[in-house]
This record gives sequence, C-alpha cells and structure tokens, in this order.
Amino acid sequence: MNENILELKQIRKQFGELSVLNGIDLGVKRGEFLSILGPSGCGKTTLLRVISGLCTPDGGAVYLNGEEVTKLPPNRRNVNTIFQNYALFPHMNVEANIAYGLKIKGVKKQLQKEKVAEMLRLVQLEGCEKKMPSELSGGQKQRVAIARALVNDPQILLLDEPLGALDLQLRRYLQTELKRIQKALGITFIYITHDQEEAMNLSDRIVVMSERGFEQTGTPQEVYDRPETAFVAQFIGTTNLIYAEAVSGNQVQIEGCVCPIETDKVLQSGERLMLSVRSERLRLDKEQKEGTFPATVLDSTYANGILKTRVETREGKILISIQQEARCTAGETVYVGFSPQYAVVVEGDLS
Amino acid sequence: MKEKRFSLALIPLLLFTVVFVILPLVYVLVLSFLSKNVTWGVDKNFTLENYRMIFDPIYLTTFFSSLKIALLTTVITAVLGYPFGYYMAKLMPKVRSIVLFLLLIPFWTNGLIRIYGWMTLLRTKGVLNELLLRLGLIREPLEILYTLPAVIIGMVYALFPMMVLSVYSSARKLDPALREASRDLGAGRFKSFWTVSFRLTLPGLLSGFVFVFVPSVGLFFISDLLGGGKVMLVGNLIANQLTRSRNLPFGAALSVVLMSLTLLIIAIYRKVSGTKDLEGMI
Repeated sequence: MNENILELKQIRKQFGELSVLNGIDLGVKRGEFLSILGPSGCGKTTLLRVISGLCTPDGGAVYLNGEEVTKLPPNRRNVNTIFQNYALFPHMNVEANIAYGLKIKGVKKQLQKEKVAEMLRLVQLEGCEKKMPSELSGGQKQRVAIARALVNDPQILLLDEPLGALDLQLRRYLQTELKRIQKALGITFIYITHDQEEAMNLSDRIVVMSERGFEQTGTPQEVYDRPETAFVAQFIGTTNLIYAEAVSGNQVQIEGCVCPIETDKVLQSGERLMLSVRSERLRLDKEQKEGTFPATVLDSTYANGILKTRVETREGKILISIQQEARCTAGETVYVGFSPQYAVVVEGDLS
Repeated sequence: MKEKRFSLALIPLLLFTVVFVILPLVYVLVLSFLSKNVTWGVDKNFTLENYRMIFDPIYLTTFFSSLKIALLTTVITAVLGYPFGYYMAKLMPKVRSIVLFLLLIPFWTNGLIRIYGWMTLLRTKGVLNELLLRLGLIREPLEILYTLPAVIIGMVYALFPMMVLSVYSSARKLDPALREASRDLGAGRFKSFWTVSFRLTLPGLLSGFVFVFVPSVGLFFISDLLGGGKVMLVGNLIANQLTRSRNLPFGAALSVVLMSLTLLIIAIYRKVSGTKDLEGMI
C-alpha cells in the first residue's frame, strides 16, 4: 500500500445499459509512467475520470496515498488532468491560465508569478505570458495545459490522449518533452493513449485495455515479446496468429508439420491453442527444413527500409513476414518457420 | 482596393434596404427638423425647436421614468432568464427542443391579444385574485392592473424569451470540459461557475440586456393596456405625437433621440463584451 500512490479496487461503472468498467483493479507505483493503452470506446477515459473525481464509480474504491477518495469531488483531490483538447480557458491569457489553480487556493500574487515563471521555463514557453489561447499553436496549447496542471504540484498527473490532435512530428517531439518533464519532477504520470508506439516509447509500464477490461499489464518489452492474449498481440505491433495443436509439452503441430516452441504453460497433448509469432520473427526459407511448413508468396512490398511479404499457407491462412532482405517473388513456394522462443501461446478465440 | 464582384442576386436585398430602411430613416430625420403645421402637415422651414422641446421638464421626466422602467424590466428578465437559458443549454437534446418550442409558441399569437390575456388574469375580479381569495391567501383583491407592477409584469413577460434565447445561445457554446478543468484545478462548484461558466456566458447576458432594454422603452401598447394610461413610456410619447397631438416633427425628433440611444447602447455592448455580433442574432 505504501509503495502504491494509487490503488483502484473493483471499479465498476455503467452508462445506462452499457457496462463500461467491470471490476477494474489497478495499483500505480509512486513516480512511475504508466500508460493505459486501448482502442477508443474501451473505457480508458472513464477510468481516468474515476481517478480524477470527475466521474463517480457505481462500485469499488479509489485510494490515493492510502486514503480512500472514492466520493471526493475533483477539487479535493491532489490530482490534475491534461484534457484531450487542452480545455484552456479562452478568456484568460497564458499566465492567468497557468495561475488559475494557485489563485483558487489563494496563493499570494508574488508567489503565483514566480511559480508561473518557473512553469513557463519548464515547458519552454517564456515570453508567451500575455498571449491568449487562440493565438497559440496546438503544441503551445499543449504545453500551457501541462504547465497549468503541474503548477499545482499534483501527486499524479493524468493525461487523456494529450497528443492526439497534433501532427506526427510534433507528437514525437512532445513525447520526449513529456518524458523529460516527468523525469525532472518525479511525478507519477498516468497516460491514456490508443497509440501503441507512444505507449511503448514513454512508459515504464503499460496496461493494455479492451472492451472486456484489462488484458495485460507489464513493461513495454513484456507486452510486446510475451503477449498474454490475442488482443494484446494484435494491438501492439504486427503479429501472426496461428492455430496449432499440442503434440507434447514443447511441440505443436501446425498444418501437419511439427514445430518446437518454448512455453511456461503446461500443454496437454491434442489441445488446440493459438500462437502469436511477430512478423519480424517469422522466417521464410527457400528450402524445407525441420519445423517449417510450406506457403506460397502472394506479394512483397518495400517501405521504410523493411520488406513486407505476404504468404498464404496450404490451409489458406495469410501470414505476414517482415525482413530486411530475402526478396521473394510472387507465386514462389517458401517454407515458414520460427525459433521456438518467438512463438508465444496466447489466449484467444479458438473457434 | 480590389473591387468585389457585384452579383445580381444582391439587387433585391439592396432594394429592400433602400426602400424599407434607408428612405424611412432619412424621412424621419428630415421630418425632425421641420415645424408642425396647423393642420396635419408640416411646414418646410428648418428648426431645432423639436429637439429643444425634449428638454422640457414634462418630456424629460417621461424619458427618465421610461428608462427606469426599462432598466427594471431588464434586471428582472436577467435574473429570471439567465438561469433558464443556462440550464436549457444543458438539457438533453429531446427535452431541449420541447422547451425551446414552448418558449417560442407565444410568438405565433399576436402580442396585443396576449396582453389582453394578462388583463383577464390581473384585473380586480380576475383569475389571479379569485384564486388567491379562494386559497385564503388574501382577504381583499389585489389592485394590480393599471399600476406600474402590471406594466413591468407585461414587459417582462413579452421580453423574457429574448433574454433566454440570448443566454442560451452563448451557453450552448460553452465547452463542458472547461468546467471540468476548473474543478480539476481546485475550484468548487460556485468558484468554477463564477470564474469560467458565468464569465464565458456574459456576452449572452449582455446581448440579452440590449434585446430587452431597447424594445422596453418603446412597447407603448403594454403600458397603455396594463398601465391604464398612467404609465408613460417614450413609446407612448411618440405614439401620442403621431395620433392625438398630430405633431409629426416632434414625434420624429423623439424617435431620432431614441434610436441614437439604442445605437449608444449597442456601442457600449460591443465595447464591454468585445464581440461584434449580438449573441443570438445568428
């Protein structure tokens, strides 16, 4: 409890007939950068609102620093939010926007000025004090929103797809900025995004969320290399989901061919299962070797320095392989294989 | 300066503006500098007498009492209309369209007839007094009709939708995320409303002021019917010049002053609210 700055227990929330959150449990460590990654409509924003207090859950409890805050209004929680569209006050200039929280708390004018100046330095917006939000670019608005939240010294900063409305280059730049600020201040960040690349780049830990709830929690590497469910495997990176049948504890049969795999799971002989093999781990060989199965090359495209090849297996399954070289021609027969450690058994729909 | 292409489609609009706006205005302006004839007409000699007459204590008093009534009406409609318009914007779309519809229904009935309706309600043996007597809340019937309060009631009634629609249109533009942001940053309900929501709907409230204040100086039939001729507005004064007194030039001069006052109010509004358009006049 002491180590976790935030604790969610069995959070439930329903909107009419639609159940959005179904008993969510989550512990967030002090000073960590946690991303909640999921497609739109999976309830991640609702979860964030439960934490900030803008939304009261139907059931469950929220603990902040060990204290229950489930029923506390947002103004009585030391948590601040960066809203999706910044929500800067249009009738106040940059300075007044940033000072808003301090002014509400009755902080002295002089101290307000100092803190605002400090924040402007942190987000590198010195000299913009008197500008109105309408005069700022998207990236600048974003920085003002960050400064406006951080000036209150929140225990947790909640970010709701903060870079969603910006173009790719600016997003990449602000990602590093966010990471820098988080490192510099040591504040816990809970970051909501549907962009897997963003989550991978920024986070200490990622929670992958689907409409069913939490799919997997782990470091970026864990969720990428060892996805637990088919959803996680597909949502992050590109992968191939392959049906297989267990032959023994560490061997499976794919399309009549026996392939070795490494897994912690105990496999029953004859059990049907689903494997995830990352596209960059899927090998295409010209000659048949042990543990490979045949497929026909459909097409091959070259972009951004990588070669993406689509092949069709004998049973009509389409697989994607990403390689640096090894050009294949359409119609050619190749043999598909993978190293045992790269085939991950995932939970998924087997029908 | 680059010349904009003149479109033929503009001709009807131009004609309309010239015939129904510009010419009448010029007519009234010219008329206000002429002197009245013994009969109906006017003599074509230039004079400032009509404008001087406005400063006659009798007329000046009417002017000020009319402005006072207008101000009172405006304040009351604002107090009642602001919350109405503000919450209307927050209603669910279906409910909102019903409320909007109910608000606008009276516009489809002649205003004069609606004021007659109020006479039936307010008179000594009217619906209101009957009801209050039956309920035992009063012993003697209230004398409301033909008093100042009756005029105020009628004016507030007639101009209430103006205020509501004006506030509503500005409250609709309010991003709910702003309110949430202010709560998130530590503001309680009231602080949040005052520093964000109210401040951002202020242009709507101010344009509501203009929409109520300006006509309430001139709604002479309301003060005629509900005030029983005891309450005079600038509107009554003008109407009297054109009918009973047959002093068209003086009526014109009063109209010019009233219009100038209106322009002044709009200019102040634009200065204060910092917007160019009147909220709700979309």
